[in-house]
Amino acid sequence: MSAMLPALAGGNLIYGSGMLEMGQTVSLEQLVIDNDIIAMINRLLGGVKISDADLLMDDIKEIGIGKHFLGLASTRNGMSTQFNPLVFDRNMRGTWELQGAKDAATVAHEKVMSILENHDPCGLDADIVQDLNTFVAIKDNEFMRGA
Amino acid sequence: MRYNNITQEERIGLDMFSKADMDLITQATFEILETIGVYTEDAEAQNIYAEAGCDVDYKTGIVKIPEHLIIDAIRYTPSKVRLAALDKKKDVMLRAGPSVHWGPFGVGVQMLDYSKDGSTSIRPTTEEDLRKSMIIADWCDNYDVTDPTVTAVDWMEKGRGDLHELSTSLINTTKPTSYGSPEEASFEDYNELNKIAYGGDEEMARKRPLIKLCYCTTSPLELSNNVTQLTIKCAENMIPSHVISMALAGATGPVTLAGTLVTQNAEILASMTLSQLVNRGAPVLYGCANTIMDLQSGTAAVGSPELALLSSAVAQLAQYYKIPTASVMAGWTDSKIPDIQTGAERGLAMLPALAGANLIMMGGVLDGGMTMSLEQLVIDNDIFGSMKHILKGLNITEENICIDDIKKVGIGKHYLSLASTREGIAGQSNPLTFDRNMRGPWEKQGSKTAVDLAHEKVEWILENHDPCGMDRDIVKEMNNFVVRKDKEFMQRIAK
Repeated sequence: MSAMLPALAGGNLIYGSGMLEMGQTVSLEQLVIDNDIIAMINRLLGGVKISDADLLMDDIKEIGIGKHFLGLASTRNGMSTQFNPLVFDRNMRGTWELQGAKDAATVAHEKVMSILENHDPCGLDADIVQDLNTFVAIKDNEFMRGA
Repeated sequence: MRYNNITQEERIGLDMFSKADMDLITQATFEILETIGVYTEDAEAQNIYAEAGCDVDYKTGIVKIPEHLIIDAIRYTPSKVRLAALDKKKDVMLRAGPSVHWGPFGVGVQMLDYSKDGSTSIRPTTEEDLRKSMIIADWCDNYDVTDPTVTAVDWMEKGRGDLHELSTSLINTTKPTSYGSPEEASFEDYNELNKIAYGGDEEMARKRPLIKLCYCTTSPLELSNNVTQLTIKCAENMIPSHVISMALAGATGPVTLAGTLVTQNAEILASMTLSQLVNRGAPVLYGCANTIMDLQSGTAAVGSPELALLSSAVAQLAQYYKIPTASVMAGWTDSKIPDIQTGAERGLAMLPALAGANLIMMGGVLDGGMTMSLEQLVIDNDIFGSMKHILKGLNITEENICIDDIKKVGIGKHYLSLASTREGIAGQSNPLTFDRNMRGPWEKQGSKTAVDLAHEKVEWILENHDPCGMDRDIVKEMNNFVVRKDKEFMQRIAK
C-alpha cells in the first residue's frame, strides 16, 4: 500500500524490498514476496488501455448473450498480458490443501531455495572476479593493520 | 478532511481516463445495447422495456435498448444515495465523486477459527458467526457500513436462513446494513423486517429504508428473473439497488479490460434503465465485482491487480455518469488464511479508493469470498484506517507548514516538546493491531503477530460491546416474525 502511492505519484526508484522492522532486518522470503508485490504495482501503473482495438467489439458481438469468451483467439493472446504471481496462491481451497496448505512465507522459502540452487547471475569473467576479490582482500588487510 | 459526520472530502485522487476514453466506452456500450441487447425471460420486464420503446423479441427474450432511453436513465438516476442507519447520525451518503466509505462484505460459507499456533481449520458458518461479525464491525471505527459477512448455513435446512441473516444484521448494528443474496420471491419479507425495525411505521420504512439489496447480472448480457424482479421491486419501494456485474475478463467478458468494461457497463445500464422506467429517481448503486479469469490456474483471481484496475475504472466511469459506486470485491484476496498474501492483496484496494469508489467492501473476507475470519475483520479495520489516512493527503496550508516552529527549533535540535507537536498527536494514524515497537519491546510483549493481537481484540469487543439500538419489543417482534416464517417454510417442505 505504501509503495503503491509513491509509484502512482511518479517515484522513479522505490527501495525497501525484503526489509522488515524499519530496515533493520532482512528476510530472503520477503524479498521474493516483494517481487510479486512490485509486479502487481507495475501492472497497476500499466492502467487500462482504451482504444478501438482494445474494446474487442467484434468479439463482443460474435459471442453475444450467454456464451463465453474462452475459445477466442483474443483470449489466447491476452493470456500473456495477465499478471501471474510466483508466490501468491490462486487455487481453490481444496487444491491448496492438497498442495500442503502453505502460507505465502512457506511458498516464498521454497522459491528462495530453488533460486539459490539454480540461478547463477554472475556475468563477469573468472579473471575479473578474482581481481575484485584480490582488491577487497588487500583493503581488508589494510583495514586490520590500521585497527 | 472531514466536513461533517456523513461525508468526507478526499484530498488526493487518481485520474485514469480522459473524457475521450469514457466517451468511447460509453458509445461502445450504446452500440452493444442497441444491436445485441440483453436477455430477460421476465414478461413484466419485457413489457416495461417494450412500452418505453425498446425493441423486444418476445420469442427469444432479447431486448434491444435505444441510446436515448439509456441516456435518460443515466440522467434520472440520483447522484447521491443515502444508506440509512438505525442511528440517524450514522447515515452514509454515497455521492458520485471522490468520497470513499468502507465496509465488510461477503456471503461466506466457511469460518476460519483462530488458533494460537497458526494452524488453520474451517467449518460451516452459523447465524452466531454473523452476529459476532456484526458486533465487531459495528464497534470498529473505520467501518462506515456493516454489511453481513456470512451465510447462516445452520438454518439452511431447518428454516428461512435469509430472514435469520437479515434480522440478525438489523438487530446487531446501528450502522447501515444490507442484504447480499436476496431472492425476489422473498422481497416482501425483507421489506416487512424493514418495517418492523421502525415499529411498523411504513412511512419511515419507505423514506429511510434500513436495507439495500445487492444482486448480480449473468455475464455476458443476461438479466435473470431475480435481477429484473428485484430491480422492479426495489425501484417501486425506493430501496437502494446495488446491481453488480461479475464479468470475468477472458471467460464471461472479453479478455481485454477495456472490452470487459463495455460488456459489464451494458449489463448495469440495462438494469438501471429498467429501474428508471419503473420509477424515475429510484436509488441505484453502480456495483462492480469484475476481475480476470486467471487463464493458467483457471480460477477467478480476486486478488489480482486487474481487479483493482477494473474497480477503479468503474468508479471513474460511474462518476462520469454522476452515479454512486459500490465496489464489492476491491481488496479481496485469493489467500486462504490471514497471511502476507492477504496483506498485499488488501493493499490493492488503495487504487479504487484513490479513484473515488464510494463504497469499498472487503472487511474480513478471505479465499475469494468463501471464508470469513473475525481476526481479519479487525485487521482490515486498521488497513481501512491507513487508507483513509492516505486519502486525507498532506493538507499543505500556511498554518500546517509551521514556519515559526521551524525557525525556532533551527538546526540540529528536535520538535518533541513543542505545543504543535502535542496537538498533532491526535491527527496521527494509530493502528490497533499493527505493532510499531522496536524488536526488544515487541519480544517482551510476547512476540505477537497481527493475527494474535486481532484475536485479543475480537474477544474484548464481544465481551464489552452491545450495539443493539432497538427497543426490546421490536427485537421480539422481529424474532417472532422470523420464527413464523421458519414454520411456514418447514410446512412447505413437508408437503
